Amino acid sequence: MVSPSLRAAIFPLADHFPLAENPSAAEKNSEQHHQTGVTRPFGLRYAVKPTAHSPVKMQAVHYDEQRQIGLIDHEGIKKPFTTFDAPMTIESTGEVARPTYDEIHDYDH
Amino acid sequence: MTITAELGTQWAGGLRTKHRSVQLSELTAAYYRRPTRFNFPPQLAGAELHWAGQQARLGLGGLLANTSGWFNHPHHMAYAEYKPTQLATAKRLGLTVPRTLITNDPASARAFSEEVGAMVYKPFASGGIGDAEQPRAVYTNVVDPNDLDDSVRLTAHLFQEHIAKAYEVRLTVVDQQFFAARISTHSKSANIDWRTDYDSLTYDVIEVPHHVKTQVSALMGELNLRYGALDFAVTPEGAWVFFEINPNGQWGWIAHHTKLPICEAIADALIGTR
Repeated sequence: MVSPSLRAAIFPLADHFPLAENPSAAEKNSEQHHQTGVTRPFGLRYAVKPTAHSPVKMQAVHYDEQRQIGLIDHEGIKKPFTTFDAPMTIESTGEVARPTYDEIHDYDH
Repeated sequence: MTITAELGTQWAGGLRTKHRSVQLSELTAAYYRRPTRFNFPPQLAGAELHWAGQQARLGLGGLLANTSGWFNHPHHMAYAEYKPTQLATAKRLGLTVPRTLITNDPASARAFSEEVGAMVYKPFASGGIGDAEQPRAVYTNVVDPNDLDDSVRLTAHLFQEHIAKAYEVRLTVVDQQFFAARISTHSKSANIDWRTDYDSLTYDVIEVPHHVKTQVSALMGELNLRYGALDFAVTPEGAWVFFEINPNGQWGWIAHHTKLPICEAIADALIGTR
């Protein structure tokens, strides 16, 4: 079993707030690579334009640093970027598998 | 953000932003969701900007690395994100895993294709490529063996046997609580990779077989994860085939479509009510 500290050194996150040395720095490799004459790796032949699930104008999305919530422009007003079916918020998982009254929907755009 | 921490018997100090502050000693949980890069004063640029980012990453990051209550700890997520690691661990713990090849040798890829029959290509990471026109994504694709040429040599590629599916499952695990959503696909592309066509998907809540729960619990423990978003295919014969675990995978849209209390479970995990 690799110790957590050793794992951190060997397997650092490549980006997004990595907690160890950034491995994205290019390593100098003196090995002579096979000259293939192709310029794109095989996997990239499948690169496609992503299908938009729910079109969201990113210019309409904001962040409230005070409340630490997302906001979205809606009819000229900045509204929280969530939808509430009821005015109350569920505060615990509870005993029932599915909430039947109060619901929180997180739109994951 | 302002950070100040002094080393006594342990690091003591805190973080402060314009709106709030916290002492390191008060931290009981940390949710590593989708952090962005640091923002620096505009006068920093080029090499100085890069250097400052590195210092911040290792300084603030190093302080936080010592914090307990991570959900999940970034180091554990980094380890678990490696597909070869998660596939090998899953297989060792008894989960059914597709036959898999990693190679940059076209001949090996062709030989594997002949061995497994229908074969798919999957990227190791979900990041796309920022092409000149617009960003493009790479999803799982069925491979025509005639296409396996020298372009395979340019980097590591992951190939797997193509699994016949009755449906797929997104299993979200939060501190050993299981939330399983059956995903039914209704388009050709979604049948290969449901991420390609969300609009064609339908969702139902489904029970997880006991043996799969046991194996997934062991996998989460082995990978030191409190949270995981796992993808399974269920064959027409009813076998659950492990595809991957996303240590930081999306859950909001699943909760939205199924009403599964994933959000509540995460909240409970963070405030320590379980």
